[in-house]
Order: sequence, then structure tokens, then C-alpha cells
Amino acid sequence: MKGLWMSEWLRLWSRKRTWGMFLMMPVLVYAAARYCLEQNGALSPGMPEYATVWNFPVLALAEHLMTVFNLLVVVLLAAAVTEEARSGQLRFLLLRAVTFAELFWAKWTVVLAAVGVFLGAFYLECWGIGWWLFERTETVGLFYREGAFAGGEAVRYGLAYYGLAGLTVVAMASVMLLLAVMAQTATAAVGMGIGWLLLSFGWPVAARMFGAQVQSLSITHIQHQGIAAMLADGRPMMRWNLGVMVCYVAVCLTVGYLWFVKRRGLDV
Amino acid sequence: MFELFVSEWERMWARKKTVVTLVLFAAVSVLAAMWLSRFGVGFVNAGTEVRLDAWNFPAFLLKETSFVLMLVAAPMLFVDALAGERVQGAYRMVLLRPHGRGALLLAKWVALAVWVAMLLAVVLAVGVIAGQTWLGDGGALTERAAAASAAGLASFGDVLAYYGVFYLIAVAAMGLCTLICLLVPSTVLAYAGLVGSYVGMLYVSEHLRFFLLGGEAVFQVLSGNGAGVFAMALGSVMVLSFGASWVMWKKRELC
Repeated sequence: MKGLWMSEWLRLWSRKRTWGMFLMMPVLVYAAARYCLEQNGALSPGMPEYATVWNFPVLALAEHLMTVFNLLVVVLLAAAVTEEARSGQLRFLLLRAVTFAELFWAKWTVVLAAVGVFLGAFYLECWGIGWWLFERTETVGLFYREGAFAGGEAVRYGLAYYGLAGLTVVAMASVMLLLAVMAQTATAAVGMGIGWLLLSFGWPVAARMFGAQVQSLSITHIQHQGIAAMLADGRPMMRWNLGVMVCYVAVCLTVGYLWFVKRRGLDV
Repeated sequence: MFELFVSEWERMWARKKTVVTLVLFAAVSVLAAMWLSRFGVGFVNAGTEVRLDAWNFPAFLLKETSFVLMLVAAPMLFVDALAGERVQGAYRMVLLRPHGRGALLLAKWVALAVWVAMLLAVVLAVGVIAGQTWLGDGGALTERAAAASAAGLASFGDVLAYYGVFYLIAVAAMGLCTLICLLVPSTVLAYAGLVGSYVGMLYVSEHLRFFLLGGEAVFQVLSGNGAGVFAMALGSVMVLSFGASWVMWKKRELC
């Protein structure tokens, strides 16, 4: 299993597209920084949206989580699962003594590890660019929290935010894995993934009258507002949102696993 | 040339995905029509809303379905036709016949342009039928005048103009997709590149937002606000993408 995992990991990073996306990260961080600097002109210091070196990693991730990281997951999974199966590359992989179950878990965990690397790099680049462009204020405001907070508290908040953001990406990746396994072609996998994202964006608007809990059935809504609500004073949405994400992961992974194994790795 | 178009058209419909996409897109249009008509209000942009009625409904329905059209229904077929066949080696079979490469690309563009027109015709048909069935004629003349002024929709002819301008945006997206498909070697990356370029253009210039926010941009154009800049931006994208694609396609070894 370890050998298979390493082989998947090396194959993922041997592709130019993975490196291309990885090298795009600093550009995206810089774009977010320019946007935040522009916004700062219309905000007063102390507001949670006012960017300083302490809260810039959170603001930058909030800017890109719903679009860039979700699209990243769509691309990685469509390439690793659907494209490899349809182009016949999986046949070569299965010449070795590995089971379909092992292959499924290796692919899933490798994509998650890669997203973890992307998220970690994004966080560090936010610190680098933030240190260069933003002021180091004494205190900073945090979303849905009363009072002003010192830099250390803001850093702890930021780490918790990144941890929860990582969980939302895991939940989104489980849906995308299921779609990638079901899709007949790589373009269909990407199309279905983007269709799912559009549905997730639209759901909070459609479910507005039913309240925050029903709106939070959408992963992108959790990414947009739910993470800050989970870290608010009293942690009001923590259990619900975690429950929603666990349900997505459990259902999609189970169905995806059975589909992959029953169809013997997409009829390779 | 006509035979190539027919061959391209038949190959497009031989894929199960084409039929499924058309059926699903029609279903999305009906659902969006039900949703819109229930509230009876359409948004020209984030700050301006107008009352919906039978005659302006098809334009607002297209605005609501434009994301699905521009991000899912159209690109899936674009990428399959422009990159998928090249990656799979299907061109070898097509070019066994004595046709020029340029003719093949033209046939593809015409087939895909007809496909986009079909998608728009579906929305228009759903919009007209749903508008006539579920909505009235717009009530007071003052309300109709306000809607006409905000959205640039004074008559059904303006609604058709709305569809026409949106069609040009979708055709420009096809040109952009052709270029991206020629630059990147995989279908997944071509698709992601197209969507990424839509998003990236939001950051480049406000005048290039029409790919992602086409519904809103066309309302702005029809109400006489920035039509010249829009035409220049759209025209530039079309000339550059179609021109560069044509040159690259003719020069490159395709299979």
C-alpha cells in the first residue's frame, strides 16, 4: 500500500499541471493582497475586514477558498481518476499486485495530501506577502467576536480557520471523487463538478427562508460564511456544520468506493 | 465543406453526453422559470430590480441560466470537440478523407455555434411559454416604462436583441476555448483553463466581465451604457482568439 501511495504521489507531482497550479498560488495571494489594500481604503482599522499582517491569511483564503480550491479539487480528481481510467493508464497500474480498493484509497489520500500541501503553501505565502504589504497593528478585529485581539490570538484564530477550511475542502473533494468515479469522460467529470459548485452557490439563496442550518447544507455556504460562524463567540454553528461535512464524506466515499470497486476501476 | 459539417454534427450527437446535456439544460431552464415566476421580480444588477411579466421574462430567464450555459453546457461540448478528439486521436480517422485542416476547424465552429443557438432557443422557448402561462402583461404602463428604462427592454424585439448579444458572447467563448484547447494538452486542463480565464478576466478589467456575468453585461449594453466599450472588448477577444486559433490549427500537426 505504501509503494502504491508513493507511486500515486510521484505521478501526481510529475505532471506539469500540478506544478503549474502550485506556482500560481503566489500570484493568487498577491491578487488577494492588492484587493485587500484597495478595500482597506474604505474601511476603518479594527474592523474584521480591515486587512493587517495578522488577519491577511484568513482574508486571502476567504477570497479564494470557494473558487480556486474547489476548482483545484475538481481538476486533480478528474485527472487522477476519470482521465487515467478512460485513457487506459490504470491498466498499467493494475499490472502490479494491487486491489481496486487499495487503488481507490491511495488516489483519495494522495489528492487530499496534495490539497494539504497547497493549503500550507498558501498560508506561508500569505505571511510572506502580508508581512511585506500590510501594517503590523497592535490589535485586530475578528469575525463575529466582540473586542480587539492581539496578534497571537489572531494567529491562533487563523490556524483554526485554515483547519476548518481544510475540512470543507475534504467534504467537497468527497463529492468530486464520487462525480469523477461516475463520469464517463474527463470533460463530463469537470462539467459535473462545476455544475455541483453552481448548485451549491445557488442553494443558500433558494433556502434563505428556511434559515442558516438549511442554508449550510451547501458546502460552499459553509466556506463563505459558516467557518467564521463556527469560530464565533459561543461556537453556534460548530456541531451542525461539522455534522454536515461528516455526512457528505461518509455518503460520497461509501457510494464512490462501491461504484469504483464494483465497476472494477471504471472498466479498465 | 457541407459534408464535413454533417459529419461533425453527427459525431457530436453520437455522444450520449450531448443528448443528456440538452435534456438536463432544458430541465434547469424549466426549474429556473418556476423559481423566477414565483417571486415575480428580476434583477438587472445587484441594486436594480424590475417586475417580471410575459414580455420581459425570457431575458431574465436567460440571465438566470447563463451560468449553467457558459460554465457547463457549452464548454463541455466545446472541449470535447476541440480537444477531446485530438487527445483521443479521432482526427486521424476524420483526416483520412481529403479535407483541409481549415475546413475541419470551420465545420467544428459552425456545428458548435449551432449547438449554442439550440441551447439559447431552448431557454427562449421555455421563457416565452412560462411567461405567457404564469405571468401577466406587466400591469401599469409606468411599471413597464421603469422596467424598459432599467433593463433596456422596451419590446419583444429588445428581448431578441438580448439573446443576440448573449449569443455573440457565447461564440467568443468558443473562440477562447479553441485557443486554450490548442495551447494545453489535456481536456481537464482545457476546461479548467477556460473557466479560470473567465474568472481571471474579472481581475484584468471590468469590461471583460461579460464571460462570467454575461446576463448583467447585456442589460447594461441594451440600456445604452458602455455599448461601445463592450463591442470593442468583445470584438478584440473574438478577433484575437479566432485569428490565433486559425493560424495555430493550420500550422500544427493535429494527430
